[in-house]
Amino acid sequence: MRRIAAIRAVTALFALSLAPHPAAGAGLPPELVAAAKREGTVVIYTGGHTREQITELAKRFEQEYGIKVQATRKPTGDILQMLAAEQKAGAVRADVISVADVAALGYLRQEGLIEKYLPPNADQVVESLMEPGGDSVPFTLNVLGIAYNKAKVPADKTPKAWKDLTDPFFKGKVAHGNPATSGTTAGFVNAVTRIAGWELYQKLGAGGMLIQDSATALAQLVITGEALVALPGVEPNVLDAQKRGEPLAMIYPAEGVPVNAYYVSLARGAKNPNAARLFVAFHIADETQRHLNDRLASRAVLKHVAPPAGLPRVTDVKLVAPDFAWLAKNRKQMLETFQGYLRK
Amino acid sequence: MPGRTEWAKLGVLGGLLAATALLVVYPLGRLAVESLRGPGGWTLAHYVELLRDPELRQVLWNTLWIAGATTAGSAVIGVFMGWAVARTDMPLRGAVRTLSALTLASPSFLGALAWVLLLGPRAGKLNRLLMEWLGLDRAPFDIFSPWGIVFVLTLFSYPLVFLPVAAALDGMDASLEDASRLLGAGRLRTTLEITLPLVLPAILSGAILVFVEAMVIFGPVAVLGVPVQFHTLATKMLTMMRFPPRLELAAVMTLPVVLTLAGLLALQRLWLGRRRFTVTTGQASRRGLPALGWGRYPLAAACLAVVGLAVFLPYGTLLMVSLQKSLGRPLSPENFTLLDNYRYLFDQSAAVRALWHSLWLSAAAVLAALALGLLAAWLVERARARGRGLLALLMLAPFALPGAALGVALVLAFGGRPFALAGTLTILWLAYVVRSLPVTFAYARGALTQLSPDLEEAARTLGGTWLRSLRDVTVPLIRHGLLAAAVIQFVLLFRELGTSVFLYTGGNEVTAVVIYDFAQEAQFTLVAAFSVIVAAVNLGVVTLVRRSVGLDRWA
Repeated sequence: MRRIAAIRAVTALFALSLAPHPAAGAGLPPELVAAAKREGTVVIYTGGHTREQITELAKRFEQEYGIKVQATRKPTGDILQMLAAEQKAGAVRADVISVADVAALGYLRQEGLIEKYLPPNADQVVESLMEPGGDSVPFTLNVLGIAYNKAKVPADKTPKAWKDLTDPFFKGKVAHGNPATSGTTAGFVNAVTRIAGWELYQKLGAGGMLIQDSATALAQLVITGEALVALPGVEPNVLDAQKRGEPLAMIYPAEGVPVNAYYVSLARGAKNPNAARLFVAFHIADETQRHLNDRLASRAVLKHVAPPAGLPRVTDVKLVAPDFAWLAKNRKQMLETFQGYLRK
Repeated sequence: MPGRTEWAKLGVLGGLLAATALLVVYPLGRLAVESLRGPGGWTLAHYVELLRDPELRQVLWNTLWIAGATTAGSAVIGVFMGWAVARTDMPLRGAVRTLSALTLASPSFLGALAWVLLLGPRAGKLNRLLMEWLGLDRAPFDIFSPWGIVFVLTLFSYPLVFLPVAAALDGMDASLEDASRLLGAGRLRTTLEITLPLVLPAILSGAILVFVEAMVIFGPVAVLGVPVQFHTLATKMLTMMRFPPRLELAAVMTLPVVLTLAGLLALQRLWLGRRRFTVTTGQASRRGLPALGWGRYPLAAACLAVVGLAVFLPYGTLLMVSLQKSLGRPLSPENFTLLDNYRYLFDQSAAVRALWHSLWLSAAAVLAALALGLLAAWLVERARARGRGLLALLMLAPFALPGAALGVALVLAFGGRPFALAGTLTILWLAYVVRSLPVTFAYARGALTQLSPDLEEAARTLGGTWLRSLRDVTVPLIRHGLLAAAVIQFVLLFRELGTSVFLYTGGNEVTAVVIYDFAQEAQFTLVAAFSVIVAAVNLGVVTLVRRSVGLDRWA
């Protein structure tokens, strides 16, 4: 029941996204801006930005406030390890931390690495994307569909539903992220099995999948043709590759498509606390969100900002968010089930 | 009371021991302590967890046989080629040497990726060609397999044996071989019974490095093994410590490797025992190399075949990819671009910065490590002091650490007060020095075992101080070995990824990290272009060093 409710909630909220909107994102206290400017610098450790996203956001933030952004971008797992080591050494340098999944956020919270900060306009973010801990904000939405090689999959074989992947044509040619190491993939597996059932993995696993630790690294196998499809297909990565002329494309099965979000959090004990707050707020300011949408084709999280041009409207597909509460309790069991279906 | 010379000596050696303690013992100690702590205080639980892991046996077995097969392959190729370039009049000897150093020039995951493009079972270009030529309906090779890993690792590791063996043979006095020939032994017999046994120390220290490196290497196994569920210790443990982050496992996984290393060193000592390998007496007669006649051409062809597999094919592939607009479409006029990828890179301040950082960090680290490694080798080989076995183990121990584990150790040791080095270039430099100790030490030691102590003693009898005899006699005589170490290590650092990716922060990029970053985003045309630039820089530096140190023009 709860699952269906979650699906409905997300769909309904995206329907709202076309409503007209007031100017939002302003209303940051001028004292905050002034104090942030005095600090002059903000250090962000991020696993939750694409390179293009962080480069662009840093540039615009510097232009607007004259505050320098020192960004370190690595996969979320690496960011957590680095933070863990710095914390043990008593030398955490980050003011802002960004991660790509809710489980990682849970770790940051449990270890006391982040503290609560919600910008004034956080109430305009699609509610179902707000994570259960309530101390961080999402800033972009990733649709996780099927990525495939357009040059190597003929039109009549192009999958439309999840079960189409079990066609013998794709046998041994499916690349999949590793849910044990990739938080994005863990959420994806949870959502997909709720949409299409575990039979999907029973069959895919028997056919022999190629497993990669990181979900973003899957594209390499599909681009080179060693695999024909990648699960999850991470929308912003696929779009990036498309822009560069790679024959990658996204499929959004009608039965439902998983989503996740990238989050930004204020680091506990940040050395530049005001600049950090300002940078977090900047992520979901109206203008930034529109810019993400229009220039970077990254979906916005504010209810009133419509999706980037050319992307299917999320109202047309059923979006399914991972069940974070379930995952928190049953992650290990899910990983074992997944592993069990893989052909040795 | 010791004289002035003695004081200088004590000071220098004291400095060496202090540096070893600070750079090796302290970080490894921090790591070990970390692995023995649990929520309730001291515990062995993390080690027990490893022992109880149902897959442990399989994973250990995988690790050992991959390392064993890689070592065997590297030793055969390395010794054969070392002999060919140093002891024959084969053509292209210098080119083979310089190019072999280049095999080490790219992050190992990248070499693996290049081989996926060539030998991938579904779309590999070489596989496709072979299928067409031979009329096969299946790809003849599958790079996603344990043998694929051994193949790539061997091509990536043989220089670790080849370069020091060649260097050892360079410094060798030809009169021993001449004597053997005069006594009627054939060329083959002379080579097998005189030449090779004399460079046994170089072969062994190279082989040990290859074995240990193959045990802890992550990239190629992650690219070629993990997709088909084949794990070694490194992929298994680094995956386990990834989420949630479990730093203590970094030390736990290092333990079996350190034990193996200690075992190998003990074996080495047992094997070499009290035999002497003195071949550099300072009276070397380097008369003409034996003429091989027509046999030199097939020999050169064999060496070039190895270099072709190790350098030309992967770099050729990368060069081709760097000229494409997108990787997923074939190279055609519409998909061709001469400069776009390169121009894009030079517009990226991070990429340019990374090249610069890598250049000077690597050079500065190699110099420091060379000094430490040489002194330690001298202490171990000449001073006959107690505890020299331990010193040798300490100098080699950093090799037993997977890159990420060394990164963890250094942040724990130097990240916080009083050092406060987290996020600085200094901590990267320290990491590079530590990473360089094993190779510089092993090669300096290999070279010293060949050098007769008489020469140093003569210098001191003539009134030279200890330092002066080291500087003016020892170092020049073993310069081939030291240079080989410096070149290999420089190139290795330039590609270092595991530790760098852990330690770098925004603004402090190094080359391998930039390549990794592009690869993470599947921007392979940029990955390829940057690797080509890195290879060119390495080629330039290696050539420059070889010439300026006054080695023969092409030898």
